Amino acid sequence: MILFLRALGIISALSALAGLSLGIIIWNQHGARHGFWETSVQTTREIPIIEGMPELGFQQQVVWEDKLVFGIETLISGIIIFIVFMSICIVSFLISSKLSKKIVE
Amino acid sequence: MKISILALFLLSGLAVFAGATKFDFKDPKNINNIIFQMDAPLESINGSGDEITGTVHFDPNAPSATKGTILLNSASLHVGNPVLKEHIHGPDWMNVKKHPTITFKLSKLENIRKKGLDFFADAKGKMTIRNVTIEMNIPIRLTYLKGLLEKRNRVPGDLLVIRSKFVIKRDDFGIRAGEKLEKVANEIEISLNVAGAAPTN
Repeated sequence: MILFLRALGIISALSALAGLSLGIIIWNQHGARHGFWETSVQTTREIPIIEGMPELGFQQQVVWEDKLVFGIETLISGIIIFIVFMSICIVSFLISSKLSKKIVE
Repeated sequence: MKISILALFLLSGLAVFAGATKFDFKDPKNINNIIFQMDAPLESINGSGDEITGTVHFDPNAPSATKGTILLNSASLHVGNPVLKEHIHGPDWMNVKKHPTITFKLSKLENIRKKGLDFFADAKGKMTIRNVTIEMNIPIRLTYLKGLLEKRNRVPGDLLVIRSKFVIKRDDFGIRAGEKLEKVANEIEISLNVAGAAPTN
């Protein structure tokens, strides 16, 4: 039982660190935005008013491309996973130490 | 006598538009758009709207008499997050079902400066959003391209490009005034990029 609890504690600690790291890495890779996820991304292009005559000026064209971009929810999920697994880790280590003390007594 | 006075009055009204060309802003190339940006402390929202229609009467010899209306279908407002888009279109924010259009009614141009092909001016008119109408002065840049519509749309005629960058406040239009300011900024930066066509036949 003690061994099981200690193994559970170690696995939980590793899962907590993995969850947090993954959250931070994905959030950072997707631009570390403050907003929530997006399913389309805005691209602005400068189009000549008349093709082949750039001297007459340009007009901005907005194009929305379907693309999944993660936002702040990824970081929040990572933090929640970290808190949940760290709690399991702490509780399992506390129970296992109490059990081992009882056995010694 | 009365009839001749009325006829004179009508003729003088027509004379104002006699030299003006009517430009239609429904773009067959689908490039016309508005871009909006809101920078709140917690969130930045970027989006666009592309279903633009309307007409503007413009005479390069009398630019101050420029008149017209530019309309945006509010249901065409788009942002990257689908939940946010649903909220923006919903009854609490833009209420696109009840208020399907955003309108700017241009009544005249002031402080006109000509630089090359461009006219820089302040557009005086009325902006209507969610049934709230406010008089506004918007800095605009007009590019009049005589006879060049053919090179863009393969139809003979003239082209008028209107560009503008201005700021509106959602408080002014009663769009949840004073609420959620940490996530949705009160100031909305708008960039307008539209080209209007005046085919000759």
